[in-house]
Amino acid sequence: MISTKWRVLLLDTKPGNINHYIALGIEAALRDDPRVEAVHFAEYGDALPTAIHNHCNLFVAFDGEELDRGLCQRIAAICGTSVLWVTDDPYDREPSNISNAELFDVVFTNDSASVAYYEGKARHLPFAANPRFNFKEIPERDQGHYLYDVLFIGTAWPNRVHFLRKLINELPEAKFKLALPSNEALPAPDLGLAPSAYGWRVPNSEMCRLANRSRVVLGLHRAFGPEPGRSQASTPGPRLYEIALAGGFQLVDLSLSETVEYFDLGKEIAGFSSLQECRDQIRYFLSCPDLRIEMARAAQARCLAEHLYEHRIRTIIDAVESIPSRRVSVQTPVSASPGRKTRILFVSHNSVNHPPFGGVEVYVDLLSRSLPDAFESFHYYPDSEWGLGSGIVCQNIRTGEKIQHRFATPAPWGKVTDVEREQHFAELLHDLQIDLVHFQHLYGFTWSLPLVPRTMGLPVVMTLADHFAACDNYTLLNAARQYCNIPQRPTTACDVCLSKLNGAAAGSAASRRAFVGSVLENIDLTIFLCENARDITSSLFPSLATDERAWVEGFPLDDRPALARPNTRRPFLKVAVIGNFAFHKGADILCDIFQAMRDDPIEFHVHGDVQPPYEPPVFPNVRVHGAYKPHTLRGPLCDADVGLFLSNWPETYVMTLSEAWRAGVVPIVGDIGALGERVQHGVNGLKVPVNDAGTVVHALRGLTANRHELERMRSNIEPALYCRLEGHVERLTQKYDELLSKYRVRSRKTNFFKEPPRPRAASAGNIFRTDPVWRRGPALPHHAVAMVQPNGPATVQPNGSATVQLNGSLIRRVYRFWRSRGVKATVRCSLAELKRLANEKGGRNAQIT
Amino acid sequence: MRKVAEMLKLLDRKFEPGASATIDLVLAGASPDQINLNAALRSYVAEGFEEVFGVGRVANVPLAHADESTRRFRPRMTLLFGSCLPDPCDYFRLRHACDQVGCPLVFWLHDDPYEFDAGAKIRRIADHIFTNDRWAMEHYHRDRVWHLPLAASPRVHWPHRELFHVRPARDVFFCGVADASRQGILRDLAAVLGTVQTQIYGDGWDTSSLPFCRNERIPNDRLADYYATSRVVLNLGRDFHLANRKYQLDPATPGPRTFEAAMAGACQLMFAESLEILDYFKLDEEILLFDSPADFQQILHWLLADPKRCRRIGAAAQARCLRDHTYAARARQLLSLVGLSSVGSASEPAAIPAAA
Repeated sequence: MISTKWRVLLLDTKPGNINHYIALGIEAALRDDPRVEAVHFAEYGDALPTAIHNHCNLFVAFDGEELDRGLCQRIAAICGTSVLWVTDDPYDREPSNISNAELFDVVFTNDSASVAYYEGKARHLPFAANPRFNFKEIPERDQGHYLYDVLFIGTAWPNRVHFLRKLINELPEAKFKLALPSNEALPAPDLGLAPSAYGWRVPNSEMCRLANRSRVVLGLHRAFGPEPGRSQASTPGPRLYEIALAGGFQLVDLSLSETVEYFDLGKEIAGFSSLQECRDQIRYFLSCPDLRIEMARAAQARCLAEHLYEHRIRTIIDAVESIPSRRVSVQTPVSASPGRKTRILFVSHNSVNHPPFGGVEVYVDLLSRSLPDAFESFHYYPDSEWGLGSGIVCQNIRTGEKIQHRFATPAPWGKVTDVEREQHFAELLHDLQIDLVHFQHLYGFTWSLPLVPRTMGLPVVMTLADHFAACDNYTLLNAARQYCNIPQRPTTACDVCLSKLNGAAAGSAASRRAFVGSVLENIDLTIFLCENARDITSSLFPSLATDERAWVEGFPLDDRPALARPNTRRPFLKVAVIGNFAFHKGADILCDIFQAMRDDPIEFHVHGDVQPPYEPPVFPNVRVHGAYKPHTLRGPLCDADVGLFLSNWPETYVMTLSEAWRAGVVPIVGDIGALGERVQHGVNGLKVPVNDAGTVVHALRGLTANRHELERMRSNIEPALYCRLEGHVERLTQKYDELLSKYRVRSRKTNFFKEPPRPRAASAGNIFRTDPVWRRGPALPHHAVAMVQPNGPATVQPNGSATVQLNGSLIRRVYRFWRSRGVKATVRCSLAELKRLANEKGGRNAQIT
Repeated sequence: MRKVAEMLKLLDRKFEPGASATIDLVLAGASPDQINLNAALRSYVAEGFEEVFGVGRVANVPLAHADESTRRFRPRMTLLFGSCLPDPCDYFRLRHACDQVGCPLVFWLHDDPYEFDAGAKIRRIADHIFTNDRWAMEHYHRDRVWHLPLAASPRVHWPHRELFHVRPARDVFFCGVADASRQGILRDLAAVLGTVQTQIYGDGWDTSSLPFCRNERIPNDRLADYYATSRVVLNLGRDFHLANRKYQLDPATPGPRTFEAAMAGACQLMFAESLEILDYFKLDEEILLFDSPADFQQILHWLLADPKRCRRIGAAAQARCLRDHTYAARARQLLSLVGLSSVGSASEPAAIPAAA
């Protein structure tokens, strides 16, 4: 709903602004203005999402210094109406302030003499005071209230230092209180006093308290600028108003003639034109306390009546409301380029063109080719040529055009932020004019990456395809190679586990979790593949359990129909084992099953990559077909009777289960994660305890003997059991459309992409980080992990007996392998292992399944 | 006297889970204790709340146990005290635990403005934020942010009784980390300090140019004795910022040492960078200010020439501290701002021990 009142996005353009208290005064005054409905203060990191989520229709940029043109253009495009109030003219007038003025509808400058330089674009608006920080009661009498005779607080501009040095000598009887903080750009101040007496800084509120308790407060102007013509402003700075409101009696330098336009000389303030006059005036007013207090009181009343930020804000809102197009900008957003396709960038750790791959890669491939014509898909993934995390590819799915980039810094293993990668990502998002980013997996990236599009005002979707948000060890298999049951584990236990797995020091788990949780809070839509995955992740980040921005939706199958099942009755049971043959997929258990059923009337068909250290099992009734291409399982599955899915970790969806069901294959699954959640025991499949080969053998023999039971369960399999492409794309694009609408992607002004934002570290309002590294302590190489396992991975010996590999050094392991398998197999396995280790270089295997 | 003795006895009691049927407050560190150099301060806060709620009604636990304790005890409030600067500060589960039991999650940060930027982490998580620094409070850009200075513990910061009548061991004493500002002030004061018995303790002092400095730490629980046996205690604000780049805030509120020294009965001479100190102690009666080395020299000589005045100022500051600046007093302020009533027997201010 759009209101006609102003909903303001207030931005301080200067990060690290020592004068930010002025923005606080502006913020308070905006809140108090009856024409303003809401005020949202933001920093660059969250200005765009803040403006978008709060439907801001007025962008007020304060200060002007260090203004990020790219981001301000985007904010202005989103809000519709924009105001810039520059506060450091004439010093920053050329080139930056004048150049930046073009981005805003209305511009105000603090300096009256600078107005003309903006060629009609700018109006004059002086500083003011903020009652909350500046107002102090004025005493009735001098006695007992004042601590100092003369106060001056201000930056150590050379003209001030020169003047004060002389004044101190002229007034030896006066008690001075001086604060002249300096900076590297200025000559070191020398007042002829001990430096500690004046080289200190004070908060604005305390400055006012000091002013209130000083008999005379000096007003000395700045005469120091980038060039001779710009060394002095015509309009006084904020101190004039602040001191007046604090009840300080002011004696000001009259070289700035405009001062007397704000306060009456002789009634509200006193002035001087020379050192001698200043000295004489101080002596005079020190001797006339009642007059001094009366003038201070008059200045305070004048300030309250005319020089508060509420008065300045009134001027700003008046100006904004006088813009002829104002109603248009508030209610009818300007249409973006018609006919332009919405650009979606998918981010994942790998692509289907680079095996081995898993469900995520298959899904990204399928989805990016299946979105409606209104979308144009791009895919951002690590370049396998340089190793995970070292280089990147961005591919336009339709044209096949690729952008490749190699990073200068090492892969960001163990890091949650990485400035180089964040900045490259920001540049890419800008150059390709991406409208929405959908993160599919962050393996090989830093967790800060989703903050980049967020800062740039783009909707961010994230699919949590496994448990990588909860733990770097995304399968949640602990050091004992069992599911750790993370929802029930204290963080300290996770530290101990991570320490054992990869040498992480205490605090690492909390360090990672604190950051990941903050990132997740900034995601517009988080997709879980099953309820169990959502439960696990939300046990660590509980807001996800109830957050309406979280959505449970599985990975879909393509819409091709299943092949007809041959109507043959075989004397043996045909069992499909689908997926990579690896430990976390139940390879150890499968070895036990093969061994136990070597003489049973059963035929096992292994469809998947047999990964080291496993070797293709050699049994008469086991056929290994190896890795398969996506969408090619229909044929092999169409005459299978049973499918085995024996993962020992809480898988989050398992697309191959969907494939099996579609082909009419009855699954036997480990009762964990999505497998346990999706299969109804005895209805559309069987559930067995995790890591329990015996129960599987028992079930298989039962089904071999009782084909009717198999048929009964097969008859309960229906399409509703699995997610299909057509409905999925429809639901997902609806979610996309809702976000695109919320982010005004199709209705924002066309200058949204005009200039790139400045390079900056990814940030958000709720994120603070001291160290980009979460995993402290010496990280052990990945292969060392296996050596500390109590039980090493199982291999199948040529004689068919499954044995458990003993712990030991790599050399000993190689020797044992050579003794049992011969030279050829050893070389092949060693090469595969070396390739894997080279891929990891920082520790990890690229494959997520 | 008897009341204070009873109070001190009660404060020695440690929290034992299960010792009480009712826990009103779960108190935890805002960061893990293993990396928190100021973890001891939390025990003073616990004492303060025990004085308000009653003994055994405060569960003082490490951060990692806060969520579990909140669920178990269902307190009226969960308070995280300290610094949220370190990266391993994960509050998500605790936030959820507080939601589950319906108690507010309150932070009391003790290192503003030096760590102000880290406050961003809790802006969305906390129900209430209390900050030790008044100027920093203004910059949080959210509601329910309150100012609450640190304080002193009558148990720990009360000097040993036998020291009340001993001859002062030194003229001028200061204990703190050497930042650039403090080093600069001491260099300017060196000529004066070199002529009297001066002892400066802490870390990072340039002992070659400041020979009266020692790079030695004094444990917080022994500090009171040093304060009590010094004629004048120097009070210099800190200027050492760990995460204060966002707005480069200057401190306004005096740090805990000011209150701790007052509790020990010290006559404090403070460099006047902010007048907020006058909200806590009365000028010239409970605390003294100086503005320059010349000023310092003049005041110091007056004080050293008038030991009775020193003792009078120290005693007045101690009485004021005992009345207004204990952690129990802060606990009452905090509870009032959060909107919780205080219960328990010891709601009256503690009396000044006769020996003072």
